[in-house]
Amino acid sequence: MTGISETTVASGQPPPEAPAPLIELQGVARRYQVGEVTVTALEEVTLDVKPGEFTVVLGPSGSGKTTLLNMIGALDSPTAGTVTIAGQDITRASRAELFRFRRQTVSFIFQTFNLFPALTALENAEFGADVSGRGKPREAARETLERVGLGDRVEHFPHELSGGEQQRVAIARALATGNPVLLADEPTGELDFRTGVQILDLLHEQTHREATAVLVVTHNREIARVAHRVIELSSGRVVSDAPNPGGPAKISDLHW
Amino acid sequence: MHRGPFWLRWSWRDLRGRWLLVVAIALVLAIGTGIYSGLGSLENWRKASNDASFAALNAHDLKITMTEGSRAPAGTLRKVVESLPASDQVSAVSERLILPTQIEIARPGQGPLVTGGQIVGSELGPHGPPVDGVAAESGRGLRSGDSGQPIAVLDASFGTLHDLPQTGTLQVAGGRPLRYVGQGRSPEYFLVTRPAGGDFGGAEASFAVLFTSLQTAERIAGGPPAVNDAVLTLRDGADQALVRRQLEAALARSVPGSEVTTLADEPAHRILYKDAEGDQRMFEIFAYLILAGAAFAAFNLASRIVEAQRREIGIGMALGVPPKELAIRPLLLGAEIAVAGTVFGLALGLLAGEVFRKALEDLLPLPVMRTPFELHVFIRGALVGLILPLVATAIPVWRGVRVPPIDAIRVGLRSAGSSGLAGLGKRLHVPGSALVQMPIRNVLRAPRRTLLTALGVGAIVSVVVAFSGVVDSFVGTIDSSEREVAGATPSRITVSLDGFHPDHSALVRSVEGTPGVRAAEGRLQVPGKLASGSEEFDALIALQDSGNRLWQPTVASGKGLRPGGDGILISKEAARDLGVSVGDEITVTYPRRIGRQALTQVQAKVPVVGLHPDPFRSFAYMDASQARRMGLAGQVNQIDVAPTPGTSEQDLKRTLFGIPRVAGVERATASAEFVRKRMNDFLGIIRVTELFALLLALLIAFNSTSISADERRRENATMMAFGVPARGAVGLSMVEGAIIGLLGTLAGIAIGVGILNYVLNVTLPETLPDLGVLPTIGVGTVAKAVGMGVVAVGLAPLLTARRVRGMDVPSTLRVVE
Repeated sequence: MTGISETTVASGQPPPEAPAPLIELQGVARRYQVGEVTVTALEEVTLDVKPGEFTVVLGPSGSGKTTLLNMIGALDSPTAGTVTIAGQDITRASRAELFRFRRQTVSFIFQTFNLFPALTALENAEFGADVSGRGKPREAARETLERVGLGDRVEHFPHELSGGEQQRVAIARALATGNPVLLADEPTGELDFRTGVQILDLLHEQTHREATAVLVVTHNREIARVAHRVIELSSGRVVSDAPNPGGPAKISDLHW
Repeated sequence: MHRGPFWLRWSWRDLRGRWLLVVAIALVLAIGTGIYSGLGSLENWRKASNDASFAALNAHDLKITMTEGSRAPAGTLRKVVESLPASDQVSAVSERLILPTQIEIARPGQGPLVTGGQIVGSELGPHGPPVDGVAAESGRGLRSGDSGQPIAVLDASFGTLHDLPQTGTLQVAGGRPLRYVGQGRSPEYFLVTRPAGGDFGGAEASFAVLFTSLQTAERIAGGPPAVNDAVLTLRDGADQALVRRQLEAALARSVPGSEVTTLADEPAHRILYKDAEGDQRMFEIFAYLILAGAAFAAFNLASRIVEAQRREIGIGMALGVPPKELAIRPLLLGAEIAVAGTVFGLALGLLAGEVFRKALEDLLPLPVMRTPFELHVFIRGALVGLILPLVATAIPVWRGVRVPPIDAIRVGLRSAGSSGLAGLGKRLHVPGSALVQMPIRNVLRAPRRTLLTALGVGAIVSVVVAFSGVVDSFVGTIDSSEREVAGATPSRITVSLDGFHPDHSALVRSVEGTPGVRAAEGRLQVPGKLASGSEEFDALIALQDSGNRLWQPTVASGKGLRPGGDGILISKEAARDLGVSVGDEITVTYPRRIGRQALTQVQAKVPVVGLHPDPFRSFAYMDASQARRMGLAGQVNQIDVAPTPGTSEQDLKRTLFGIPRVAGVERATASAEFVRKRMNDFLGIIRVTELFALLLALLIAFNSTSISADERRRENATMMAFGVPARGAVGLSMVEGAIIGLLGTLAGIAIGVGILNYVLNVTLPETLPDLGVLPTIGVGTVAKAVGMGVVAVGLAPLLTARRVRGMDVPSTLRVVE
């Protein structure tokens, strides 16, 4: 074990008095022109996510999950509709504002980790804290690495870490930003079950600890069991958006 | 399945996808091979041009020179030649009268040009002098009908340098007018040197040579027909040594003090051939360096392209494709680069050849230039260009097929598989955030790539440093010489007399009393030789009064000259070459007057009483009292004059020139100016090489950055996902580039300084023994090196800014490799 409990019980309910949503999408559409063909990746997507909510976006390949994540992360712009994050309408934001938004509002976890190979675990995490403008980035980075159970691996380079450890460094980097929205694109896709569960546990913990809105995109239905809310996409449309019936399951109950 | 066409098709698609990069790498190789073949061909071109030029003008095989100031009745020297037992081996002989003179040339729209020079009067045939002919470059040459006429041909180097019209009028000493009917070149004056003034040449700037008939020269000299020189050519197969021995024996009897020399002894001949060899050693160093720089760069860039295919190689391995087949695609890429590099190299070689030929024409204005394409030199360079890309692509393939397929296809293996020397970075306590650390870590992470890129840049920088350092060193040396010669009276003018005159003679008084002359000091200057052990070289020995008010040589060490004392003051360079120091005795050869006109050479042991700092080793000084050794006590042949304030130099020179028996009037610092002029021509070749080096550095920087941008796509996308603006990502690449550029520049400067020292201490003493060049690297050279190595390489990532800015971040983040 690396200091992370696999038996953490997910919180039964979202915060009792639901605050204003952190993420709001209104009628969002994204269409791509591929040659003479118009491909619709998203169509009329309307949803919101509140602080401290652990939301899972489910859907098969090509359903628009990643496009949705990119819209919320300001990596892509909708062709219709508005995306408002933390009260800021990012569909109207300038390029510079979008960069600032990404630094100070959202943080990412990628399926393929995307760590900086030349930086140690500590420096990768410090990078996150540093670009977000958080004070004392090194201390913040060390603290988050401790939290993800890598306090004894801080001086290791990515290639010296296992896949699970690399993903935990990626989480530490995202957490070190202190940003209110955390977006994870198939964060367990590259990992074995045991490690995947550790990662989910960490993400879940973040929703309680910092009231971070965590949005996880996956095609793994099992993961959706631990979410407060599950949004299902199909062919770019939201086909269901509801709290988990019966509340989130225990992470220790998951298996895939 | 027929796999050949399949691989070709795939490779063709690769090429279409990255044709720009392939072309750019091929250009790097092409510049390397092109410049290599251009610089490598220079010696052959120069020698071929020398051979053709000397042959075309019937350059002499042997030359008889009478002691300075001596003359013999016309026909004397011819008779000596005809009396030789081996006279049948002589094919042609031509008597000449060579006179020092002052020349005033009319210049349309400007004041007249007053300069020192020499009249070369030769017997004329239908096409001018039968031996040591004169090739007309503009206007016409001499012909037999010109004998005795006031007609001359002006040395083309002088004419070109001063932009004189093709034909015109001039006056020589004594105010005699002459018409020059053209400008031309003659073998002895392909490079104009001053009598005993060292080998550096460049004298054409203020030393005009006039070619005329023997009869015209005799009329200018006045008195009965006389000669002081003869040149002869020998038949094919003649025994030159035998004829020379017989000639020397005959002259010793009938014209004592005469000297017989060969064409190889001629300064112009010696310098042209020696320079061709000596300069080539320097050029070859630069040629190899440029080729090495291009090779490092091409190797690095080609391997990096193939490194990016490692995962595909792994997939191929997983699918059971034999390693040999896996190598086909990368090797085809290498072959494309090699072929394109060779084709471009051929074109660039021809282009470089043309540019170098033009630079060479300025440097060596020979009547015949031969610059054929040197295929064997090109092939040597092209072979490197052909083999290197194949090796560069084979190595990553070899490395790729060694790892298990599962590792090769695993996500992030290549990018995260090793940290290189990044661990070192942890121990380097560089202050700053993780962002600040990143460029340094990236440099350390791929040490092989960093090393190859830095070496590529370093090789180019070293060429620039060494080349510019040679120029800086010459400039510094010439400045130092000029400062020494100028002393406290930089505007003083040296008046050369046509022979030895008593220091209280009417001529001397006339010079001293010329309006505009504030002060005058007489001096005796004689050609001689300094020797110690087996080392001997020509010298100009000046004997002057220790009370000279206008100028005294600086004594850098030793006591210097004492009034009435024995001893000689020589240059530091001379002392080093002779292996002597203050207090040692050296053998000094100097002339001694016998009778009224003849001089003979004598030798004496003279103690070195001091060293002066002038870098020209030929300048030596003795106290005026020592003139008695030479039978010239109380005689002078030069007078230094200081003009009164407000006097025009040109006016004073013209007035002095108007005094009969004044043979030369020029500024005292003229020697340094000659050298400066000559150096400017040499700069032509340097500038061409520098230009290509700069182009090469930019191409290396661009290619390196372009590939880096591809390699860093995911990292850049990740940074941008975290809100680092594109300019921040580009900025980090710029810092990384600047670090690599700095490493390369430091290495380049170190290598360049090493080469400079080698050139100045090993190569140059052989080709320019008269000048002690002090190694100097100017601020401008360092700035140029830093500009090329650090700034250009550092700024190159800006070229990729648009690509980074327009990157599809989401797609890139999901790209596995």
